[in-house]
Amino acid sequence: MSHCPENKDAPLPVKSRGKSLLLSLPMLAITASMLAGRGAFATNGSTFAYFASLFFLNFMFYKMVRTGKTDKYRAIVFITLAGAAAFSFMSFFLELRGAFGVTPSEIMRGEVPACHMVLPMLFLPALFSKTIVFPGLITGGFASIAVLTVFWAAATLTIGKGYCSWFCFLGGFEDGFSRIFKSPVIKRIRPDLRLLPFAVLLTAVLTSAYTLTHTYCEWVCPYKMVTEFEQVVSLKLLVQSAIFIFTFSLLVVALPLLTRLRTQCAFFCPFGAMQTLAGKLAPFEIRIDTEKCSRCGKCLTECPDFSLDKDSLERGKPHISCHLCGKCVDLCPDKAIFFHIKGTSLKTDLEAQRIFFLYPAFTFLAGITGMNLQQALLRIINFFA
Amino acid sequence: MTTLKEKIKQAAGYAWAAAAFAAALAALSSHEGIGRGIAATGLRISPVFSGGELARTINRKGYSVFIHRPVFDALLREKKEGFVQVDWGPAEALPARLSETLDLDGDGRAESILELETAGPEVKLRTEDCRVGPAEKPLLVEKARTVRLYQEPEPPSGPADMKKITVRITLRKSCAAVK
Ligand code: SF4
Ligand code: SF4
Repeated sequence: MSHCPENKDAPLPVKSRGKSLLLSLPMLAITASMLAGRGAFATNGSTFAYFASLFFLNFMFYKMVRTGKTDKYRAIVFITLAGAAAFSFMSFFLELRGAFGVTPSEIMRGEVPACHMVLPMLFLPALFSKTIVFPGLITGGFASIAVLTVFWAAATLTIGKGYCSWFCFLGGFEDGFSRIFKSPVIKRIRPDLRLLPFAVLLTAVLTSAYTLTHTYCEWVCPYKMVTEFEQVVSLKLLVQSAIFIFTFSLLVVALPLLTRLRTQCAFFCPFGAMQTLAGKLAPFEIRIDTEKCSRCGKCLTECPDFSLDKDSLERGKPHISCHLCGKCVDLCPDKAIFFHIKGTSLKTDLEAQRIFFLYPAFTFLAGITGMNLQQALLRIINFFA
Repeated sequence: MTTLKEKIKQAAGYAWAAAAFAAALAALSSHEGIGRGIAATGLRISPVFSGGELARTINRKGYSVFIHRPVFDALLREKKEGFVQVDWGPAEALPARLSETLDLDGDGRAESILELETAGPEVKLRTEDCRVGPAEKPLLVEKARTVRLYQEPEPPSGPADMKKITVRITLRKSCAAVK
């Protein structure tokens, strides 16, 4: 247990209102233009949904800037957007096809909306057989493979593994469940479990290349539970459905509750493993000032990704799996953990470096996944109208 | 004291972060153009899902039979066992009972007869060729729902705007591949 003082009550705010507003204005402009997509002002309802989403998201960004706290507000947005995404997807599919499940017709016609989880399984077949092993649209329509690839590449080159705490709304479910209990029921976790996502990634990539299908999505992905899944029309699909209900219940709900960790992300997700490797290309990282750090251990117990241990405190950086959520940065009583731009000095401009990170990270969080909040609000308004 | 080298590293770090963000914003705002570029590389949806490119169309009275090329696709070499997809459409114009003599491998010789009730789920395949069969249950494929902004090089599964009945029939490269 930590012997450090809780720093949740550390003196706030760290910036004046005027300066915080000024620093937040460019984000308002970015999100205002990104959320003003197709049909944003078509009806009174959609206009309301647009402005309500814009206000909520930008208020959270303003609070991040003003208070110096990152994860506290990121988590609120992230978890809200996860719920909004699930609600808007499922109600959209229900409206579209009268059922949640993807139909065999949609698979044959290649009309299944793509999800970033499938990307690691696409690369080898695309390279060697020039085919996409997913029954979606390559371009055009809703959530095409080309658009997802562009979003992924852009996010990877800017925020790297931060993708998992700022862009992948699926992680929001675990983030939410892992915060419900104050202390973990399961405390001892084998460190070598950190390697498991790489094994899952390798298995998914190789089996997908061998079968020319998206094996992980078909057989294991827990998040089918909150996005879409195939209609059960055969025994094989019944078995697949039982598996995804089990993996969701275990990895996304039960274990995050019991461990206070994002267990699916930390120990299973093949996309997360790919991001760990690809994220090396991004300019941002988390660093620890080993001189300032008093070894209180608070960050070790609070990191939701199992990315910090005693070694990290000596090395001055978390494990490569760190998804830059900023929880440790918020909690460190010595201000010894911080967002850092690779190559720059570890001693200067720490707040400037955090703001530099927040801009791209929040752009992906709010500017793109924020659309799910708009959609969800609009659906609720339309339901009651 | 900050040395010149440190100052340069500092500036380069910030420049990298700013450039990455600018590039991301540019990519996000032109994602449709980039998407078109990706489509132009000739990538297509795996025939395991789409059924493969259309090989032949037979026109009957009021409806057509679409025979796709045999799909033996694998990552590097072809598989020994694959399938051929056959579609009948438009579904609204089909007679109650279909009986089709088919040349699945495209060698110019019909080797199988497929019979099915268009209202029912059963299908009967008659063939003397040990490379052919069985046939999967027929599937009613609805019209495409998505408006395709940029059409992929090959329309998946024949005409997209048509409701059709689809059957996939197993085809092997040789009788030696029969399990
Ligand atoms: S590890 Fe996987 S599920 Fe978790 S946030 Fe990253 S991509 Fe999403
Ligand atoms: S090391 Fe810090 S920033 Fe990284 S995942 Fe853990 S708490 Fe989040």
